[in-house]
Amino acid sequence: MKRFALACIAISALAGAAPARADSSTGGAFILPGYGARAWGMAGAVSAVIDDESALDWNPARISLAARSLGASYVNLVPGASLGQAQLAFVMPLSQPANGVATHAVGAMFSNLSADIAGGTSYSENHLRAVYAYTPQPLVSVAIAGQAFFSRGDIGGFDAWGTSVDFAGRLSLSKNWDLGAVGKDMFSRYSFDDGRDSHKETSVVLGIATRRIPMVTLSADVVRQYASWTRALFGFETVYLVDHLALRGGLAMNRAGESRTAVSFGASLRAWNARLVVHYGATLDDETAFGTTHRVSLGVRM
Amino acid sequence: MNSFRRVLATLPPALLCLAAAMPARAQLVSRFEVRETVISPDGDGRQDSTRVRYTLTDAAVSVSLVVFAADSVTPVDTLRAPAPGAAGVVDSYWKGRRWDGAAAGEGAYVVTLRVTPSSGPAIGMSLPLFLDLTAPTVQILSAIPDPYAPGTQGPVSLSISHLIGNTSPVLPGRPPDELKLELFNPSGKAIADSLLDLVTTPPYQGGSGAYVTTWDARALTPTLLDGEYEIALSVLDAAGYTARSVYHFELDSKDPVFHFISPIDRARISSVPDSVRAAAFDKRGIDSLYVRYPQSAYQRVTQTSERNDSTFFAVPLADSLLAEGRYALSFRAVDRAGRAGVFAYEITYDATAPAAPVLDGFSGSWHADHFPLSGTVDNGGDGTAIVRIVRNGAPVDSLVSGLLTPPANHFSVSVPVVPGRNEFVAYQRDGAGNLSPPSNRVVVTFKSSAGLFIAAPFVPGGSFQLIGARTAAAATLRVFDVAGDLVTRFEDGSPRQFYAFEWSGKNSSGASVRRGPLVAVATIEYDDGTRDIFREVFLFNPDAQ
Repeated sequence: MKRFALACIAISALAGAAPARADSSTGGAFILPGYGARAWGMAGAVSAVIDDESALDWNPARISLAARSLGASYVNLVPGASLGQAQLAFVMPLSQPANGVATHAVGAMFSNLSADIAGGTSYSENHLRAVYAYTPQPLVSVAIAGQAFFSRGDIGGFDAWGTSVDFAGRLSLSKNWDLGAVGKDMFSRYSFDDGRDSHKETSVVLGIATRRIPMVTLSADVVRQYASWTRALFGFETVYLVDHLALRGGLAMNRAGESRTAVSFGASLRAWNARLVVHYGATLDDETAFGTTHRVSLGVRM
Repeated sequence: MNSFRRVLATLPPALLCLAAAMPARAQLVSRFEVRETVISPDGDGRQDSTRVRYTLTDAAVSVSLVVFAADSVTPVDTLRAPAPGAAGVVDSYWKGRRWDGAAAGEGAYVVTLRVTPSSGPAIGMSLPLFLDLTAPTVQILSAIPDPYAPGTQGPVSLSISHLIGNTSPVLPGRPPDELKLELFNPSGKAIADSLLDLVTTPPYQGGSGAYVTTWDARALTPTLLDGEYEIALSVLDAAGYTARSVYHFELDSKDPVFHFISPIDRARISSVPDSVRAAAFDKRGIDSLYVRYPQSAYQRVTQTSERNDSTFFAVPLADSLLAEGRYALSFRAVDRAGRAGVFAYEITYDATAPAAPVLDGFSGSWHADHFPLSGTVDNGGDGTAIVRIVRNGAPVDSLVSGLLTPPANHFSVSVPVVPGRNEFVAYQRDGAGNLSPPSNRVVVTFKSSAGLFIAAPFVPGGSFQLIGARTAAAATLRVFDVAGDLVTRFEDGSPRQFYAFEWSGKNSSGASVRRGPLVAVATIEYDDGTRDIFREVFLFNPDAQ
């Protein structure tokens, strides 16, 4: 526990070393929040924790820990406005897991972002993501994720398509300690129908998690984006009733543009011989920002 | 001082030659001199006494220094009684007193040095002295013409007549009494001597008499102030007396001026008035007034009336401006000093209506309390033309179309709108007052319900329009990317119901924002502590025109 506290202090120090306010976002197309209610219930501090189909998005290297499963998730990102994100995820180990870790694993995820735009028009994005994870030995996994996406809008100038590539890794330091690292959109490019090119903003995520406390997982992530450490994330997850009920919470300290903190919490319930899991997550953001959002996701172990 | 002249006539010519200093006539007396040849022992500290100095090169058996009357016989005062004298410089002073202490009378005197050497004949040397007890006099008799108007058809110069009396006698080697004439302008500032071109007749050489000094100020006229000037004439005599006389006269350096009441100069008129009404003004009054119509000679203005210093007048116009065009009239006024002022008056008769403005079209609803109405207008080169904007039949704004930049002559003005239908029409009125036909009509429907209104797509330079349910205390608008990271923010702390936040397309860090969907969150705070929050997704396209 002391080590995790030290890790949290290190992450806070890392974030604190940056200016009090990180550079603002430069916006752009194909910016997509992460998948699922489970991860958002922990404020997104899951790069060293996640071990189900959510890992396709948060840390592809950790799909090596996931069972063959299918998931779906939905969230309306902006209360009071119509900006919905619907996602389908599928992950499958290609080899028999040894010690719960598959040597080869693949997955795919489809995301749709739809918005009703001011002025009575609409806009949508579709993302298709494919992941391969390789675990040369049980303590280490690496992964690569490729993504293709396209957008369409009722207003001219917003039809575009492009691709991006992520890299990820996980390291199990011990039975109770894990590290995660993800480089998102390390290579990306997209083109609008008027011929203009753009690219997605690269981000790097470093995470640490511990299970030293029985039935409790503590995690912390730090995200670097816009040339600064823009986000420090802290989360926890507890399980009850022989892993049939999970409660979780988290804190996201955002620094891009202006500092603000969002609190998250969530719960999961397993049923049908633990093959079906329903997740709920809520994010209590500043009311002058996105406000309170609710996410629901469903996972089926096959 | 006239007695001086009589005395001078009695003095031997040889003696007059010894006016200021007498070089030694013999080797024994190397120097014999009188420092002040004219003294005025009146106790004013100036030339109250004179110093008599002689220098002996060797000892003498007897030396005497005596002041005699002009006849060189009657002793007046003994500065040194006969006695042996040693070699060297000896100074003696005479304070204008007799040997018995009584004051000597005004007149000429002779101071005589007599030296007896040890061998050879005695040496006698004399110098003249004058005792002046009377100050000079000066009086300016007149300065003509008054007022003096240099550069007009009147006298070229100002003639200053003055009398000078009791001047000191003119002696060889001594300058005459100084005559100084100063001129002060109405501000009290002296005109520099170098600028004064004064001629005195007869030429002043130190003598008493009547003189006339003339001043030709024509070259200085543009710089001379109009008003009362002061002449100060001073005489400073050799004994230190000063006489001064002051005289005032008027100098007219300003032409009469015109003030046109109706129509004003360079007016553009759409209908010809009966007459031009104006006033001519000069401090010293208008003597005569003339007008010259196009292609005619000057003719005297007869319809005049005097009020204070101004001459009001009217000249007929209606029968002179029969067709549209530009007309030039000339007015000439002469003041009572003879100075004339000419004014070139111009008037343009224009009865043609200007072109109607063309408003840029608009379709759809509007959500702010001001609408950027724009259009183009041909002002025909009239710099004073204006565009009047009418909303629902009532004027709401205007602008000077003459200031628009050709050839586009495009204008844009933020006009207030009222909830509901706003029908805008524009007219152009030229400088002559002609009104154009109405422009095309632009209808703006102002929907004033509370909310956040954003153009689709939003382009740099556009504005977020925010309407509160009622007058708010402040408003804040934040723009986020889809993932919730802040792009930029705006604040307006003014109490309003309608807010507009213009955005250049840069984020808070100054970087250009990319094309894509963004989320705007607007917060309106009211005085009672409540607030409304509006969230809208919008598409931002920095590359759109």
